[in-house]
Amino acid sequence: MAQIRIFGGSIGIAASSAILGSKTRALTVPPEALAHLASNPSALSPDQWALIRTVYTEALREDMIVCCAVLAVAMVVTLGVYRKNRVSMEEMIKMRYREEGERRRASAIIMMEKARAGVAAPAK
Amino acid sequence: MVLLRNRPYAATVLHTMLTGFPYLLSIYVFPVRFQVVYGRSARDAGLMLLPMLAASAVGTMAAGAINGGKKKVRFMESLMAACALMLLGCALETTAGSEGVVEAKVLGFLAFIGLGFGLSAASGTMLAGVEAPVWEHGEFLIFVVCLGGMVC
Repeated sequence: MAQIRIFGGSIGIAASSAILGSKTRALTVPPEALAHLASNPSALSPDQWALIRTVYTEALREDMIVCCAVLAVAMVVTLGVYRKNRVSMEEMIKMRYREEGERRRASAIIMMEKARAGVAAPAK
Repeated sequence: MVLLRNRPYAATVLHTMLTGFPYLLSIYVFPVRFQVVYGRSARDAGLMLLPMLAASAVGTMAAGAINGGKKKVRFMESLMAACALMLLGCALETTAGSEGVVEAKVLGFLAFIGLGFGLSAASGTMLAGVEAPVWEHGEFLIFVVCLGGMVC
């Protein structure tokens, strides 16, 4: 479960980077100045900053619209989780234990039969 | 692969993937926004994510309260509510402005995303625990790890 979540998340991060990239490409600020965005904020004029803020906000808006679409699909998928005749969590756990117990008993019987056959074979 | 033939389980796997998308996207995008648009330090940007993370803890507890114990499980309802909360949060985040002053509403709306994610993560994990037969617990994990490796 955790792995599949991270898998979805990596696609999300890739999508957001792609959206931001396409937005910044349209920007009129020189790329050299953008490289120092974090380390040297004073290298950019207030006008350029305003422009960058707008671009980042637009990218965020687009990211969120994509997220809304993904979540709408998730809601449809979630309908598939519904199950009739639901029981409590405790009973479900008990059911799993019973299942595992039966499986182990069955495999123990098979092992015993194999062992018996193995013992019987050399005697012939 | 008994698991993928189990409809509630397969649906939860897909749900988890589709809700991981907005959550991790938000964790990545919002601190960047706090630094670039609001001009805050990296540390402050991290601290501003706290409402989201705190809400996610609350969501986890809520999931336990809804599904655990002797009551009937309500996985479908809790996962649906999680989707709805995250959808609401994401939809409200589109109203963020570009003025460069810290907006409390952006942090507040992040809490919706966090709450929904907490609810979804805990319910999904609980469902995976009880829907999967004991001997299948490891198998799917290995499959997904291989899948991740392939994508890389």
